[in-house]
Amino acid sequence: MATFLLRRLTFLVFVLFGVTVVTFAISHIVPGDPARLLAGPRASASQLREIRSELGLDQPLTTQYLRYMKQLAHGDLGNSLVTGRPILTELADRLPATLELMFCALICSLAVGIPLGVLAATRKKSWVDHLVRAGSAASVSVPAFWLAPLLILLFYSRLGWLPGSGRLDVDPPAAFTGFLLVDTLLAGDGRAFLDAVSHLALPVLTLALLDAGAVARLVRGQMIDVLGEDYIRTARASGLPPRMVIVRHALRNALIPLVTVLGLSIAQMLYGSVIIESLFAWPGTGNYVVTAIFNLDFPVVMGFALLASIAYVGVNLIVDLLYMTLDPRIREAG
Amino acid sequence: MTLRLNASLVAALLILGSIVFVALFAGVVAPYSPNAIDAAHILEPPSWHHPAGTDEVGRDLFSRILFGARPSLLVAFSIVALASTGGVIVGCASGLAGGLIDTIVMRLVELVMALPGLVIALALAAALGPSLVNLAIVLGLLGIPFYARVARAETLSLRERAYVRGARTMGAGTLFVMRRHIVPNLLPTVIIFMSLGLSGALLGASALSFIGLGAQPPLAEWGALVNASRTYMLDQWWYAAFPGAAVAVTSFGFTLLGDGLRDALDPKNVKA
Amino acid sequence: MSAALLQIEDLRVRVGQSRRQFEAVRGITLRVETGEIAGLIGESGSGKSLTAAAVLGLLPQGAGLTGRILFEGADLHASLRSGTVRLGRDIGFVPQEPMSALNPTLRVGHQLTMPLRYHERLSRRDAMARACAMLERMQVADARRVLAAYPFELSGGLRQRALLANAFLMKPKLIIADEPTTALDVTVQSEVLTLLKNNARELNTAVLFITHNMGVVWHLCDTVNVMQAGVIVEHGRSRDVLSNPQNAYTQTLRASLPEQAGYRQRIGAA
Repeated sequence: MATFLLRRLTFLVFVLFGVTVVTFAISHIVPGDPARLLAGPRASASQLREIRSELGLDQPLTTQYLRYMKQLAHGDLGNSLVTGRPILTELADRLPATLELMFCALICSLAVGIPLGVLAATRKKSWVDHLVRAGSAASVSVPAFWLAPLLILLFYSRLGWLPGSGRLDVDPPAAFTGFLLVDTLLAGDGRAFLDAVSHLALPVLTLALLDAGAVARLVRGQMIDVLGEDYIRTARASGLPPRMVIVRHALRNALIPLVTVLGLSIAQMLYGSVIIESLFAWPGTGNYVVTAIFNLDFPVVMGFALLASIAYVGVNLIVDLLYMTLDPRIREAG
Repeated sequence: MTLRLNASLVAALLILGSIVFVALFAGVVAPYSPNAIDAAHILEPPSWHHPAGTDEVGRDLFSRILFGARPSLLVAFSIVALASTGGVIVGCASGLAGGLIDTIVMRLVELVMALPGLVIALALAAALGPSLVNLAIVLGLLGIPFYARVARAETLSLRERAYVRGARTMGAGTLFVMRRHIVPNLLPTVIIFMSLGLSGALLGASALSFIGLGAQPPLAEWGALVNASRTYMLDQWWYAAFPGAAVAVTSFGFTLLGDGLRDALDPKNVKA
Repeated sequence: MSAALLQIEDLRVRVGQSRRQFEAVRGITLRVETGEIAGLIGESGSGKSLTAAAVLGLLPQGAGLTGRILFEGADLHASLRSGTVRLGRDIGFVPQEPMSALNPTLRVGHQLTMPLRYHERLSRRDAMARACAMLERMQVADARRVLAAYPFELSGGLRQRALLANAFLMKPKLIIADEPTTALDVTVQSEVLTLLKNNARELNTAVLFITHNMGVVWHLCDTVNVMQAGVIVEHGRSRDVLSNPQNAYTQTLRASLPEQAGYRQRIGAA
C-alpha cells in the first residue's frame, strides 16, 4: 500500500513537471507578442522594452523556465495578460460553477446509465437490451455542439420552459461555497434555488445524455461478465431471488472495476464541459479558457492546463485508492 | 479468422457506405455547387429545391453538407491513421523491449494522457493559426497513447506464445518479429479500437472546427458549418441541425462498426 | 412402488443458439429415493452436468427442455415457481470448482448466511451460529476464522467444505453434487467424500452425485446411472453394476480403474 502510494505520488510529480515543460514550450511557439498585448497597440518601443524585461522575456529560455517554476512553487500562476489579475484567483473564482455543473451531470448520468446497463445485461438479447445498446451507441456518437443547440431550441425557444444560458437571473445569494444550489439553500432563498436549478437543467441534461451512454455500455459489459461467473450460480442455487443475486452479488463485483473508469469519465467531462460552457454561456473555467485562447492570453492557458493535469492525476489516484479499498483481493495483496 | 455478420455491422456498413460514397462522388450527387451564392434565396427553410435550406449567402446547405463529407472524413481518418500507426509502433516496441525502456516509454505515454489534450489542441491551434491540417496532426499525436497501451498489452501476452519465443530463439530480429508475428495478431483488437477511434476523432475534430480553430470558410467541413450557424441558430434551426446531424450519423456509423466488429471477432461472443 | 423423491422421465435438453441447437440430453429416466446416494457417471460431454442444471432450473440462456422432472411427486419447476419447493431449503447444490464458486469480494460467513437469513428470516447472529455449527460438522477446525475470511484466504479444501456446509445448511431433502471433488487434491478428495457421505446418512439427505470416476461411485453411491452421449445406458445398485456390468460402455469405464488399488479384485472383476 505504501509503495503504491509512493509510486503514484512520484508519477504525479513527473506529470506536473512534464506538463509545465509542454505548456511552457507551447506558449513560446506562439507568434503573438505578450508584451505588445499587455501594452496595447500604441506603446512606444522603449515601453515595450521595459515590459519585456519586466516579464523576463529578454532572458534565455531556460532562465525564463526556471523563473516560471519558482513562481509555481509559490503557488503563483502568473497574471492574466488581459485583465492583469492573478490567474489562480481568476480560475478559483470560476471553478465552483464548473464543478457544480460536472457534479450534477455525473450524478445524473450514473443514475441513468447504471440501471440501464444492469437492465440490458440481465435481459441480454431481448428488445430492452437492443434498445439500450442502440441508445448508448447513439449517446457516445452525438456531438455536444449539436445536442445543446437542439435542446436550447426545444426547451427555450419553442417551449419557453427553461432558460438557455447563464447561471442565474435573479440576484445571487451570499457566496459561501460558490455552489449556487448550496448557497441559495443556506440563504433560505427558495426562488433563487429554483432559478439556479432551472439554469442548471439544460447544460446538465446535455452533459448527462452524452455521458450516460458510455456508462451504460461499460456497466452492461461488466455485468455480463460477472453474471457468467460460478459464484452467481452458487447464489442462485441457494434459492436467492434474482433481485438479490443481482444487487448483492453481481452489481457489487461489476461496479468495482468501473470505479477506475469513473476517473476517466470525470476527465471526459472536464474537457466536454469546455464546449458546453461556451454553448450555454456558463461562467466557469472552461468558458474562461476558451476566451483566453482567443485573446492569446497564454499564461491563463498554461495555468489551466497545469490545474487540469493535477486534477486528472489526482482524481485517478483517488479512484485507484477507492478501488483498492473496495476489492479485498487487491487490498490484501497491495 | 471468420467474420459473422450481425445487426450492428450491417447497419454500420450501410450508413458508412453511403457517406463514403457521398464523399467520393459529391460532385455528381449534389444538386448545386457548394459555393454557389444566390442572393435571392438567403436563409430559406428546407424545401423541395433546398432539402436542407440555405445559408446566409444563399448557398444550398444540402450540397455544402455533401461536399463537407470529404474533409470531415479525411480529418477523422488521418487522425486515426496517425494515432494508430504511431501507437502500435511505440506499444509494440516497448512491449518487446521490456525492462527499463518499457517502463520509461510507458511513463511518457501516461504523461501524454494526463495532459489536457483539448486545451493543448486549442492553444496550438490558436498559436499556429487555425487549420485542418494542424488539427489533424495535433489530435493524431495526442491519440497515440491509447493505441500504444492496447498494442503493448497485446504484445506482452503475445510475446510469450511459443511461436514468438521460437522465432526469437532462432535469432529473429525485433523488427522482424514485430512485423511477422505480433502485429498481424493484434490487428483485430486494434481495428476495433480504430473504428471507435474514428467516431471520437470525428467528434473531436468537428468540435474544434466548431470553436473556430479547425476548418476555415468556405470549406464546408461539418463542424465549421455549425460554427457559421451560431448567429442564426435560434431562428434558422436548419442551419445548425443538418450539419450537426451529419456528424452524429457518421459518428454513430463508426461506433456501430466498432461494436459490430467486436461482437463478430471476439471469441467470447462467438455464437456456439 | 412408492414415489421416488426425485423422478426424471424422458428428459431431453437442447442447447446452442437458435440456428445450431443440438440435443445434449436425449431422453433419460432416473430415480433417486429418499436418503439414497445415487451416482450419475459419464465422461465429459455426456450431458450429466446439463442434467443437474436442468433439475435445478439453471440451464444456460437459450436452452430448452422437455420431459418430466418430479420432486416428491409434483412437477419440480412448477413447485419452484410457486414457492412450495425452494432451492437451498429443499434442494441443495455442491459445485465443482471451489476456486470460483464463492464470491471473492464477500466474506464466507456473509455468503453462507445470506440464503439462510432469506429463507428462514433469522437474525445475523442466529444465522452465523447455524453456519458455524455446520462448518464444525464439516470438520473445519477454526470455524469462526473461516466465516470471517474471504475465499481467497482459504485453501481449496476449506472452500469446498464451506460449499458443502452451504449445501447442507438448511437440511435439504436432496443435494445435487456436480463433481465436487474433481478439482481437489487426491488426499482432500477422500476427506470431502467421507464428509458428504456421513452427513447425508446422518441427515437422511438424498444425493445425486455426478462424477466421471468409478472409484468414487464404488465408495460413495448406493445406486448408479451410467450416462453416455445423452442417454442412460445402464443403471442399478452400484455394487451390482460394478461387479457385473452388462453394457459395453460400463465395462470400459470399469476397466479404467487402476489395478494397483486393488479395485478390480475387490469388485470381483477378472
